[in-house]
Amino acid sequence: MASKPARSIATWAAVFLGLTFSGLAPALEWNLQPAGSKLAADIHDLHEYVMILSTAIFVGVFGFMFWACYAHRKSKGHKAEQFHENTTVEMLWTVIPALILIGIAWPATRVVVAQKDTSNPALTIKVTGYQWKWGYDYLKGEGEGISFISTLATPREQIENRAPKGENYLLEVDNELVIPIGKKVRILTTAADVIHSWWMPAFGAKQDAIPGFIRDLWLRPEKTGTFRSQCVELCGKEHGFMPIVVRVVTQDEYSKWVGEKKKALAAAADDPNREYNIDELRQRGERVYAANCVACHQPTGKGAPPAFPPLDGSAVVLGPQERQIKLVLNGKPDTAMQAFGTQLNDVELAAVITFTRNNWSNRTGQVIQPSDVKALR
Amino acid sequence: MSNNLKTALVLASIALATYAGIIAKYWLLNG
Amino acid sequence: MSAVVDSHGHPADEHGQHDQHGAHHGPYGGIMRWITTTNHKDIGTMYLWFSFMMFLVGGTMALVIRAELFQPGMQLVDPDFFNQMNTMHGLIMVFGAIMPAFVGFANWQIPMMIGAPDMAFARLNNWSFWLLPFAASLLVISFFTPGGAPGVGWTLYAPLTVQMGIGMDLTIFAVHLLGMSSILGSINIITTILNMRAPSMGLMRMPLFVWTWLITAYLLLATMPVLAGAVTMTLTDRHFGTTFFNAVGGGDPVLYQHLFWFFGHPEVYIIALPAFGVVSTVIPAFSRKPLFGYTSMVYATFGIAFLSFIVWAHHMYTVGMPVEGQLFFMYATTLIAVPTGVKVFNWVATMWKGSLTFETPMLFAIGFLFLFTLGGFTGLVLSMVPIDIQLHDTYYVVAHFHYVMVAGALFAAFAGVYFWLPKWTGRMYDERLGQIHFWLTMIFFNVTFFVQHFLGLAGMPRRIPDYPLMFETWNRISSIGAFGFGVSQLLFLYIILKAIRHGEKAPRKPWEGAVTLDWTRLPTPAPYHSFETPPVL
Repeated sequence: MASKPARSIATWAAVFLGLTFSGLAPALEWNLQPAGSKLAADIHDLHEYVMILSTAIFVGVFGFMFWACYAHRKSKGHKAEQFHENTTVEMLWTVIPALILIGIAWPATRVVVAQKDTSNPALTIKVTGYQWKWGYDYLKGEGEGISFISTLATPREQIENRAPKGENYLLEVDNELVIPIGKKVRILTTAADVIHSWWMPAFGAKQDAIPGFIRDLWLRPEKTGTFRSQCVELCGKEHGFMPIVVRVVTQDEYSKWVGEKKKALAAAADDPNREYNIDELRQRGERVYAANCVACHQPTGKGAPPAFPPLDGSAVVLGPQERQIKLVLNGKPDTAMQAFGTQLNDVELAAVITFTRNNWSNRTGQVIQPSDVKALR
Repeated sequence: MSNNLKTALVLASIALATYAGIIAKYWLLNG
Repeated sequence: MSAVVDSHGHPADEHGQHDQHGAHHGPYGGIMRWITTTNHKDIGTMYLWFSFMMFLVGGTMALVIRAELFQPGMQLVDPDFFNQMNTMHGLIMVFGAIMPAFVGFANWQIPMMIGAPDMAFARLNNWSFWLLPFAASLLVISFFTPGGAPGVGWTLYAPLTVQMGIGMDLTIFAVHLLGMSSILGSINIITTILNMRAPSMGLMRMPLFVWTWLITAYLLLATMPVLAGAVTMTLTDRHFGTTFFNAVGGGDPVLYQHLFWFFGHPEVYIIALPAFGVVSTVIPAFSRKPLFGYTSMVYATFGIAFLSFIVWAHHMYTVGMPVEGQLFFMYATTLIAVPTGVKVFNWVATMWKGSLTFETPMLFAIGFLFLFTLGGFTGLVLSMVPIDIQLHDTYYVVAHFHYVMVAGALFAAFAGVYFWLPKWTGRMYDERLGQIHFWLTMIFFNVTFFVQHFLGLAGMPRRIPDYPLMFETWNRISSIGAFGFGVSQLLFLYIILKAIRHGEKAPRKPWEGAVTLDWTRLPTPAPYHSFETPPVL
């Protein structure tokens, strides 16, 4: 580098950066998350191995380059030699890197094969990606039959900077996935609309969730605790707002949880044969709306047209009931309006439809009963 | 026909064949 | 293929008084000159200015992204618009900035370096350029349609693309036009190089820059139609009832990914190879020593190009392909490191025992060598399937590709501009300012992107407008770096304008070690028409 101003800029920048980085060292994340399973630990090891090897080669090669920059400068009087080929050297630096690469690919192969082996799980859970939440269905093994939706629990006020952010900002959900320690869990992934991706870095497990197809991954947690992550394939507007939380518990705690969860799900299972009055439905509907509709149609019901139509004053909401019920049940293909019939029960659907028809400036006075919804499924 | 034109036509047909081939293959295979 | 110059137009009388050539001229003045020019130098200039304008537009979008990511929480934009910024930043930088920059170099330099008077198809050359501003306008107009620009990522994955508004269709149309421009340009470049070299300039006597463009042009020809197919199928899935990417109709979303990445992987070499060509011109010039291992460099370029066709699914390790597929693509991808490594070693060997000076082009070339290689190593890390499972779709990937595309291709482009500006304009740029531009760019680039490796390792996904608290510090640093980097590029604009208007007159050969025909056989600045008679070598 020749000019003085350039050298002083470089020096100041180095000083500034040195201070910045040193002061912040303890507060920062430098590496992969701590491994919670053997597979994740194997990946850590492989990464470290490749990093060390790469750094060594990098330092070696650029040692030569920087030495040349220093010792072979014209300003130092160095005269250029004119050699411009050497077959031996070319052979060496083709063959030796190839051997080094084999030395990296070989240990990696073992881990690749291990990562793909989802056979003989103790527990099988299906994960469904929705825009923008996850559905979990315990399919086989202890806990079979448990089924719930897991949605971001961080309040909107925190996201919109009207309230201070909690410790698990954007990494908390209403219903966590609970699994027992030490057991091989096979996770099937699929999606209801677009491609999502389910990921648990602590366990070295990631798999795309593809609509219309079922893929799988496996994990065997070796530590208890709560592990957090996020959807990891761009899936639309709220892609950054659909976290994944897995709680790993002891076998006894797991059995206890299974019992409790089954009871809770049964109790919460609304009675679809009852008739409800308008106030009950509106109140319930408001909560369903807040959990499922507000991201697109907005709390004001004004939506964000044309992608997200308004509900306040909408022809669909004010018009014939059957049309709106079918739309909510079956969704609108090729849009973000999903088939909520697969995610919500008849009581919830009846409630939210009743809510939209009797809120904001909509005053139809109409009541939709769960049986009305059931009839149109 | 000049040499340049001949070269160009050969090259253009590679591009066209690839494009048409892809569309045709998936159209015919998947309906 | 014949090496005889083919006369194909440009009879002398079309150009009337063309003999005095300063820095301004052409038979027509003003705007009509630029709209109708068939001169490779004019067209090269237009590509370069267009590319720089797109670089500023795409750069502004990056600053919107980094401004929103400065802190957790949504402060400036809503998530939908954020996704639009992400998408358009990528499309504009790849198709509007970096690719046209190297086409600009190709247009200016290839005819001069092979002793040809112009490109094989001069009028086609004009159309290839003018497609670009039209396509870029479509991309910009998509912001103003209902629903805005598409928010799907530059990779345009299905089936998310099917949910987008009309901005998606404008984007598809733009991609078709951009692809058409590249395909026509490639036909032009290949024909020129194969048919119009000076007599006795055999292929193995061509400057490496010309070789890299010859091979790049074949890559473009082979892969652009695949991208065109993929986006056409997206268009018909959206509007004409097809289900290529929809399981309901018997299709498969992953098919889109295979088609896209079959284009997408060679695409990154389409960007990198001309960059390698520039660096292979600049390093020998400032080492005052011939390029080490010319023959292996040519073979290595072939090797990289060939291998680039069989590695595409390393972008898709997590879609659920069988283990045999993962292993094949992992092995093939690690193989690419071999010819790439050969090139890096050859560049260092060129410098070794040379007589080095460090003017701005050389600074950028050395910066390229250092940082592109670093990006290559993170690529090696990503090529390992189990590691990629942890890093796919995280900021580690974002860091990797910005190292190879920005610290790689963009730095090489800067090296090329500083190196060739005297030949094009007859004026020198301000060396002191050039060095400052280099150091500012170098430092701010690393502040912006080095820390993103840590973000990816720590688990921050890509394409999110808001993030959990543990990612805050690195994001802040990255955003500060981004603004510094952006502002530093305005200095570059100033340097170029100052050089063109008031730069010191350049000597015939400002670079002692330059050896190509443009420097040894032509005046500086190069005349509007050069090598109307082929040189005798």
